[in-house]
Amino acid sequence: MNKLKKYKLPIIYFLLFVGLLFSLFPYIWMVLSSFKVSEEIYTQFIPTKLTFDNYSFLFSGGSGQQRNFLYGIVNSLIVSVIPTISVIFFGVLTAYAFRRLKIMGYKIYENFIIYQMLFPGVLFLVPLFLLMRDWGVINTYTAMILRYLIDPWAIFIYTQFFKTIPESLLESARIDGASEFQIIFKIMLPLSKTTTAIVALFTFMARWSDFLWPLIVNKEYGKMPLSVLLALFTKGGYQQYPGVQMAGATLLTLPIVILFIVFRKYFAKGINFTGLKG
Amino acid sequence: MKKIKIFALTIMMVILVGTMAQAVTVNFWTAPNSQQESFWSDVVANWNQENPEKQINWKVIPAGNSSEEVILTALATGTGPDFTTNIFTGFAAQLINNDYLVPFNKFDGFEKLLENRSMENIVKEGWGYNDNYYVLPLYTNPIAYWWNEDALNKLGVEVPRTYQDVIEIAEQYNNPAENKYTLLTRYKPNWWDRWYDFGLSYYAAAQGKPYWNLEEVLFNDEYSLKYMEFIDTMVENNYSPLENYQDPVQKGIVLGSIEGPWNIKYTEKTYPEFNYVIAPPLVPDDYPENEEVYTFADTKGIVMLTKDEEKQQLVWEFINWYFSDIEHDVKWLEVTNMLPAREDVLEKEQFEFYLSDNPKLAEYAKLLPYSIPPALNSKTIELQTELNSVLWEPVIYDKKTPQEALNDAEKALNEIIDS
Amino acid sequence: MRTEKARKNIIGYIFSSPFLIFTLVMWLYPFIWGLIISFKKWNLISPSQPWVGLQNYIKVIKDPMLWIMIRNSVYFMLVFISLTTATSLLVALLIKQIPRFKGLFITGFLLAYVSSGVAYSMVFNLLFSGDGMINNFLANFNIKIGWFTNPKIAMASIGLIVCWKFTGYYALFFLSGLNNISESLYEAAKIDGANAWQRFIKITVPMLNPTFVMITVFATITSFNLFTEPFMITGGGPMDATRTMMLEIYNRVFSLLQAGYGSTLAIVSGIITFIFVWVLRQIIERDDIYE
Repeated sequence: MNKLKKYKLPIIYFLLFVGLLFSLFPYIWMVLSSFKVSEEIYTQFIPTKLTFDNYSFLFSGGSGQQRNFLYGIVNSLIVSVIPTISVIFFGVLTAYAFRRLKIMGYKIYENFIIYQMLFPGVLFLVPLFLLMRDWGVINTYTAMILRYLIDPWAIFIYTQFFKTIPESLLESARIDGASEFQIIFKIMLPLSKTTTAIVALFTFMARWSDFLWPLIVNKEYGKMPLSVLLALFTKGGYQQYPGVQMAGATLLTLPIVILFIVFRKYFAKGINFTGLKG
Repeated sequence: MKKIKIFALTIMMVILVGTMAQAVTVNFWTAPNSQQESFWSDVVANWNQENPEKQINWKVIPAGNSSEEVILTALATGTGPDFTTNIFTGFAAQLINNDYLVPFNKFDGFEKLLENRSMENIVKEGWGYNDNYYVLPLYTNPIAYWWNEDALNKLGVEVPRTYQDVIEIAEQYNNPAENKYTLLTRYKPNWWDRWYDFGLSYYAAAQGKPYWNLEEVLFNDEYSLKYMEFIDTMVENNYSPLENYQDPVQKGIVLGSIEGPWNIKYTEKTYPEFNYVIAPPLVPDDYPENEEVYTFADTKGIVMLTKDEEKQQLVWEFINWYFSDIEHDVKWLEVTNMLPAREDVLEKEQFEFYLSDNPKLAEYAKLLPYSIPPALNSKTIELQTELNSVLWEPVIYDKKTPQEALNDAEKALNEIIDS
Repeated sequence: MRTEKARKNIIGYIFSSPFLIFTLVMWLYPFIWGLIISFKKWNLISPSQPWVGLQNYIKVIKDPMLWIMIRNSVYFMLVFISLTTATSLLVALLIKQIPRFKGLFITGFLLAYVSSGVAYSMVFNLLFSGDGMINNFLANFNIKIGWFTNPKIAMASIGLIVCWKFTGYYALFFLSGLNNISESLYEAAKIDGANAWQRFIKITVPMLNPTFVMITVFATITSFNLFTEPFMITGGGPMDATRTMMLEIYNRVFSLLQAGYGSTLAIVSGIITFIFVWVLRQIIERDDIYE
């Protein structure tokens, strides 16, 4: 019995380590393959010679001048950063309006938001596409960004957090002559750093990886986010370049992996709020 | 005072140049394919340099599942081109039925253009619709079989001609345990893949008879039955792999496969060691030996979509300019390794010169007289999508016998045509 | 005092008006429009959009494809729920017991979660191909699996790769669930003579019920909305084995331009999802957990 106990911990560590290797294997393989020459991708796990050709192929615009992956990264940033900022801004603003001002019918609002989050997105795909078409914004950043500017989920978690801020704090600020805007952005926002980090992290990740919507509303290479550019590159006549595919996949994965590692402590906190988000 | 004058003058100049450059521009889309991209970018740049007041705004067809899908959604959202390449007959018919295309024969010099480019018969026989000509073909790619030459030699067999030949080779060669298969069968549910196996094999067996026309399905006969039975045998005995491989014929995973000429250069570069024979399609066992074998031609053309008369004139001028100069087709051949859609490819020395340097492509060129474009129907995409799920997949996954599947396919496809 | 309250309300309305307008324009309006289109026969490029009543709905229900897609989704759910529950619970149970490097392991397992659908679909597509790493390895044992090409297992393979992505994510939920179980419960059970297995079944599993419910609900919603993976890897094949509602809606609307039929499919898909979620919650959700 004692002997079993002595070995128990090392065994657990060993099992976890093996599990982790399995979990990280696709990443490791992806990164290694992005430095391999074509014929080694299928046969060799560790490359015998390293090459940067796959990356230079991507950045020289593939072989078509109109498919520059550098633009893809910039576009991904545009369609991720703008919604992230906007979601935070309107999240704070709306949650403040609901909670602090006790506006008439705010309970209805709050319930409504929860219902809104439960509605499957599939119902909106076609009509929103038609809306973008009627507004004449197909093939623009506007079309890719517009529907993501406000997120009920962010309003919901800000609302939850604001419940914990004591009224007295705000009263004293009002007595000092602070305007409502100042209260929101000088007091509420700095107090909710963790919440903001959570909202920013999850929103950015969702937008960075988003695929279906930008695929539908934008067909111009110059404006495509990395995910769409890479997917179409892979499906459209470039199947013969597995190394380049993996270089692209690495580029698509790396930024969020880094972001995640930097913000990992917020992730664990935020995860309790993501259940509803699905 | 002088300074202000110069300033004003500069501003006027800028405005003037600005308006001049804006004279007329048309949007031109071309196929998303690296060789074609570099070709058109040069050609359009030349035109734009020569015609500063008639600018062409060139763009690669934005990618999607298929060019057709992207062009349709672009038209539906009002973001379509003024003229575009990469249009096959059936898709042109679909666009014509929705009133999107402009017939070329209404323009002056249409007949002369056909003559100049030596494509009169090609256009009149293969590209008419409702007595009008809406498409001018750019290229014709015959499709053919590739067989691994070294492996055939090692086995000591001839290049297979009939289905039975392949089955006999498979009996001694096939060995899935060592990743050695006999014939590649495409299993992905892409509608266009059925051109290259089903369409091609039907033409080969039926001597070029179409598998459907505008009114009905014509393929439910002995020709397609023999082919589907052959495919059934291949898959059932594991002679054809149903897994996903990259470049299986070049890597020696399969002995033979159906390929287009666009793969020649890539293969030369990536697999310099690989020796292969280019052969016409396989035929049924009772096909006469000395008879010529027909094959399928992947052929695409240019169409005009703009309704603006000024733009139409510009497009027409560009098309005239492009087709009247044989050097464009020569350059096309060199850059894309695809055969221009003209009747004199085998005669003109400019082409011969290139072909003699490229014996593999010359093999394809020999098939030109027996290459038939896709059978015409405006619902081709829907039909071939359905063909996948009622005929192709049920047979290769052994859910139906070939005859059952053919009967079901005839019924289902006729329903689509009638709806 | 009354004016103060009124002032607050006015500002409240002003501050919440962007949300209100946004919801009306980008949510309610499209929702209603989607409903309307579902009763029309409308090809996106033709100018006419005649009303056809329930015809689209009847066509959807009569189309054998609907049942194939439901079958695919159920298959995905079965594979995903059982695999993910097993792997993430195991990871959570193991991590719970180690004294050091907890954070490191959690972060490591969570890395898969942040991967983009497009990126990991590409990676697994190559890994699982006929002569890919996995099949090359299996060849040593004379096994070859058509991961994405065998109609019987293609959907299970997609379940497997989605499970890869979510193992760490749900392990985190299980872990916080495990941390909420008080030691005294186990002590009490020990005194009553329950062995480790009994304690696991009688205490741990019921206490983790909320996480089971979450995985199930998530799997249900995901299974009908799967798009990126089948789009990138299988195109819905082989034999429609990986065709999902979302993929079919995309094909109908954006390949065949059938906006009306596509909208009907979307609504039917929404209703089916609701029914599945509701029924499954009735079955597995329980309130009678130990306090």
